[in-house]
Amino acid sequence: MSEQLRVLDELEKEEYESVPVPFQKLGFWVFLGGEIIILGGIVASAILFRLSYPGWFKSSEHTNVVIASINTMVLLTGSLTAVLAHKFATIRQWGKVQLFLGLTALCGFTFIGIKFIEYSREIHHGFLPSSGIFWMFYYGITGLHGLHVLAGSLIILGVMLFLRKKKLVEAVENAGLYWHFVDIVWLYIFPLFYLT
Amino acid sequence: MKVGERHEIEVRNHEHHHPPYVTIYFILVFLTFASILISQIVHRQKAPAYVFTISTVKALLIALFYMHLKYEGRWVLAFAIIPLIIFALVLFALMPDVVPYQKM
Repeated sequence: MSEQLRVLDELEKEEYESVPVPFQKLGFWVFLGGEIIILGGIVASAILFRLSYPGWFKSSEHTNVVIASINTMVLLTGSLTAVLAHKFATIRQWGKVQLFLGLTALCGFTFIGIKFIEYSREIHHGFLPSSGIFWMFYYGITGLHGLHVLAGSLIILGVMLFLRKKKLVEAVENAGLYWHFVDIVWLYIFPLFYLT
Repeated sequence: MKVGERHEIEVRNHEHHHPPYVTIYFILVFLTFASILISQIVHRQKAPAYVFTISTVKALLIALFYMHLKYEGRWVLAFAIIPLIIFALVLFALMPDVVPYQKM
């Protein structure tokens, strides 16, 4: 019995080592793949609707390009700080890693704060999710994206706190990957609701 | 060699050729301003094609350099590309629903 278990252990070990990537990283990419299909599908449905609905741009004229542009810069800056945190993690400069992770989380919370200002402005002008199909898509997609930004910011903060106990480059990398993914989704949301 | 050790070596090798992150950031900022400008000056029917193309270029820059897909092996690439293929299939499958409205 123990011999059989030993053989099974050996086989499992061989199988594990045949994949030249850490399993947690591969697992994270599987998770991101699911997110690509879920968020990508929702954004794609809105893009296709944009192409078929002639009244879309009349509604999009009521959204604020300046505020959204500032938020785009905030997310892009967050991506830069996240990748710099990973860079410093690879050369074991943990002080700088903490600093850049903190800046990334700050970008996330700034994005959410600005989004709330934007929502309150739109609600004040009478644009609610029930105001039309454009606004339904707008609140649904930007709200879902906002929740992802919040989740990303909390993950970054979590990694920041976790690094005090254990220094793990993979944790910094995976948190950054999630942030970049959320950033990429915004790159399509921004033109969809504000520029076209 | 264990997976962790191999990854550690890869990470150390990676240290010496980090992409120019700050330069890429400024390219992304420039492209954002370009897409805003194009949306203001190009006709509304043509603007989405230009603006979404710029968004795709920006997304590629982030995926290749910030998410390091340019330097990843085939395993990670497969997990990144397969969902995109599924996404593209869904997009093209839904296209026939859009075309009749545009002809009307």
